[in-house]
Amino acid sequence: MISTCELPQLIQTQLVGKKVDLVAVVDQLLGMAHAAGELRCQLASDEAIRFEFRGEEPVDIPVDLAKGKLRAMCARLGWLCHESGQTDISLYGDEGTFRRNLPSDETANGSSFSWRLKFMNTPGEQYFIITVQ
Amino acid sequence: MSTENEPTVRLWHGTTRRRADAILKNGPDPYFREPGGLTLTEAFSAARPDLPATMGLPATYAEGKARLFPNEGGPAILEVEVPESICRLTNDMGGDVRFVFGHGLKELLKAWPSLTKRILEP
Repeated sequence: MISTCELPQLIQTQLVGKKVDLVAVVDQLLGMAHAAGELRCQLASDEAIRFEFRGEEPVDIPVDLAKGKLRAMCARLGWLCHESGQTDISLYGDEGTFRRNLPSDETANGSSFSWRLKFMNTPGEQYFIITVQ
Repeated sequence: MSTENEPTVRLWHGTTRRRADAILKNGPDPYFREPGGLTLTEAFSAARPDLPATMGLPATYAEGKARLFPNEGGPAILEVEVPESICRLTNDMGGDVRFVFGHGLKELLKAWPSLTKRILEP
């Protein structure tokens, strides 16, 4: 299981900078959310994103172009709902569920897990909440 | 920055017909506010149709925006061919290209009148 202590390194190495593997970042965050039960994510400032795992203190991590990258993560999660069959989901903000294999999880044995998603992805409001079902 | 005769990247931006018409004519407006909104758009996002959609299809965004703003003429996709040198100024997020000031937006706006572009029906 991916530990939430790995969050700062994940963000620094995979979300900060010019080239971002958004699919990998979101999959890693799903692994951490699975371990914690829930992840809440929102803007902390123009240059930082706030991550809050259930039962832990919120952590603000500096990220360049924070709003754009947070919106991209929201869109990715919304698209996972769409790919899971919720084709009427609004990528500008909605609620939904999706299934996804956890990355590099030795306990998963190829099985997928379900998450519930609530998010907003507009110029004025950006956040997501993913909860393990 | 000279962009003449250099290779281009085809981008699709899903939106409403009214906004597509305005962007086609004037270029993306970073100071645009959505009806009822207080926040500036600040950016112009588009997808590369030649790459897998990881954050949604432009048609899905167009339909979603048209549902949110039903008086704006329905969904539309703006297609634009952007020089590679301008796209390289943006962050690479795997198929999604986001132009903001300091990351290609100024250059995109400057080149806009000469770019090949059209509106597609989703």
